[in-house]
Amino acid sequence: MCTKTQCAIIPPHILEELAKRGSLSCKKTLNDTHRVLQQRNSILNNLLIQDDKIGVGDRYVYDSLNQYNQRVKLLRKEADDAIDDVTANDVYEKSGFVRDYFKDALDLNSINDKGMDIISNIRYGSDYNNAFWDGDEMTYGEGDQVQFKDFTSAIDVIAHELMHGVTQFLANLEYQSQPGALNEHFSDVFGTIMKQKFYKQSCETANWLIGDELVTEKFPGTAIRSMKEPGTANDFDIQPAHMDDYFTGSADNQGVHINSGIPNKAFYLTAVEIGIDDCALIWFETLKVLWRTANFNDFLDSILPMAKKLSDEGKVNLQSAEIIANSFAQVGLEQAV
Amino acid sequence: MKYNLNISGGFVGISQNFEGEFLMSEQKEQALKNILNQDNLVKSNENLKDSFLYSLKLEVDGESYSKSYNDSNIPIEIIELMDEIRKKKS
Repeated sequence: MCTKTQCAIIPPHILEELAKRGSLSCKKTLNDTHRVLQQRNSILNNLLIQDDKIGVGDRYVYDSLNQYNQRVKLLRKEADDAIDDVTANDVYEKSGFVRDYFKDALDLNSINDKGMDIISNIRYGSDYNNAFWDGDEMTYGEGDQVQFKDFTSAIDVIAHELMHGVTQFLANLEYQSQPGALNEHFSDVFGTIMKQKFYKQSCETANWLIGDELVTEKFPGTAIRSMKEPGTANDFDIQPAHMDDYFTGSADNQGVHINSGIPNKAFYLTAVEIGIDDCALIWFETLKVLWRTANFNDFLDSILPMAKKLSDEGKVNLQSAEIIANSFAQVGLEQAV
Repeated sequence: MKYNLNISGGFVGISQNFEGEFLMSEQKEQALKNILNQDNLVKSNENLKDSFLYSLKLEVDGESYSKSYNDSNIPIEIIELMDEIRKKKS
């Protein structure tokens, strides 16, 4: 098969179908093909790409100096002593905490499992109320200081953005509709796991809010999202907690930050039953077998056998698959018979 | 010059809309019209996650010009205009 932009012997839709049926090699080919294509485009556009060499996830913190540019001034790099800049030190420490968790708990060597450098840009733009991942690095605004604090102030925001990188390299879930909502879901899941680990919380003591440390008292709500009660975090929160309320509009890339509430709720229901550590392993290993266009049903079809496999290996709670199936059923997602 | 700016998406996902009128030099007005009339010079980065989506509509002498951007391809002239619009509101 050869089109203007892509050449492959096996057409992508066949690879996709085989990946759905459990072929890891087809899933890898599918993701690699897309990634190679992206890298080729990047080279053609003369953009910076990461070397393929093995690294150790060195951290670099840059100051955007309130410009809309990245890597304006290097403030701190790996092994440097703390500097006289609270925000720079904060993002350095928190991104290191996330990197170390992934290495120690999930055997992942930085974002791409090849020790990719972890690059953070702080003080991006003017009153910039956002943080984003751009394929290579993370960028944080310092907020307007009216409704939002600095976006580096919340560990779940930092973990959320870093997780977008991990998802890009493991499953490359496309950023629209259900695959996009799953992409957001994985970022919220590991954002909330990192927050609980960072503050040494349990499932019972955690508040299950995303971005609660980010908002000021003037913000009309307590957080950006709620894993426990999607749709209740603020006055604008329209996240559904059940497929009956699925968002079908075109906004937000067909609801990537909205419909993620459905699997988020299923995650919460599972975590309170089997604990955050078992969930982390099951969700992470499932991400590895997902593919670009995987939807909610594909996710369920993948996570149940993964949970069973990990249970059989004695790595997670023996009832995990059953509990996950029940949690997903509560949000309106059931495996086809 | 009338403007309508919508900022949506991002990590927070709360939309903001700004509407109003600006007085600016003909030269600056023409520069903005040219930018909105031409194709995006920078290709959108498809690996971008949690980016803002910016939709800008200008009305000059009865003619409408509109364009959408994200954080990877928004021209600096539009960013500067947006900063002015936001400052005007606050």
